[in-house]
Amino acid sequence: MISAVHGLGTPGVVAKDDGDCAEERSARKQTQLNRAPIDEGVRDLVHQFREFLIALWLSPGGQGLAFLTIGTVLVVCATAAAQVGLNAWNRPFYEAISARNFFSFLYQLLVFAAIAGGLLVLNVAQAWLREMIKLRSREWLTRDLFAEWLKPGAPARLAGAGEREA
Amino acid sequence: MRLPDSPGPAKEKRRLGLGLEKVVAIARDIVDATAKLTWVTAGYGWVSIVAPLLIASPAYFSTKLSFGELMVVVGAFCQVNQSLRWSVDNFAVLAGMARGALQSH
Repeated sequence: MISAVHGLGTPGVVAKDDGDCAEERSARKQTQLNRAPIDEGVRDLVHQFREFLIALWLSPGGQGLAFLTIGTVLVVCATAAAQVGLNAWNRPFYEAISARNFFSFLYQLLVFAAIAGGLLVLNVAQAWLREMIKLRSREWLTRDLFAEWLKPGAPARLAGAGEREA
Repeated sequence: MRLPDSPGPAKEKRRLGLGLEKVVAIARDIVDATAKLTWVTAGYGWVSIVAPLLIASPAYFSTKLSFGELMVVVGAFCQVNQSLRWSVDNFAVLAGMARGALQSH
């Protein structure tokens, strides 16, 4: 990930004369200067996210969170499929309207009720899964934190940990 | 500094655990309430796709409206609906603000 970010910054421009080249060099230097804190931030974020995943994976709640995540992926796939179905439904629905075919119109409304009802259930399931992932991950990270802080000898380690915790 | 092997940490762990259980139980209620609210907010969105056509259909099928007029009616409904659905979309945010106001008393 980080190497990809570096790779992006290498311009493959061939300068025509030295004036352009110097300009190019200074521009490159500037982008590198600006990028340093961003790179550091990205590295920090990746590191924190890895720690977050490891702590959750090792906690007893890891399995439940894995199920919630799998459930979310399945719900998103089902939602995509239902959206495609809804898009396809538009054509017969508008054809029934333009033909002023009342019974066909009613039938298409029933089809819509089935598709939209399914999508509504999926929406609610997705919202519930999202909130549960938030809740469970926070719960297990807190438990992990309690366990870390209440380890024997934790108060002694705290003295040297001030900067990292701040 | 010698650290005590007393039941202090275990007791503290139990106390923190009890506090956490309470917070988690409340958060769980919020999760369920959010899911219930989604029935309304998402359902409102899906119904509003066919609602204007359904409402205008008697006039259309009795040939008082042309197809073009029907589409204009639908467009007008959607525009008004888009403008007025702010409160539906932001109900959860408003509920959060109300909670904050209640807590500050």
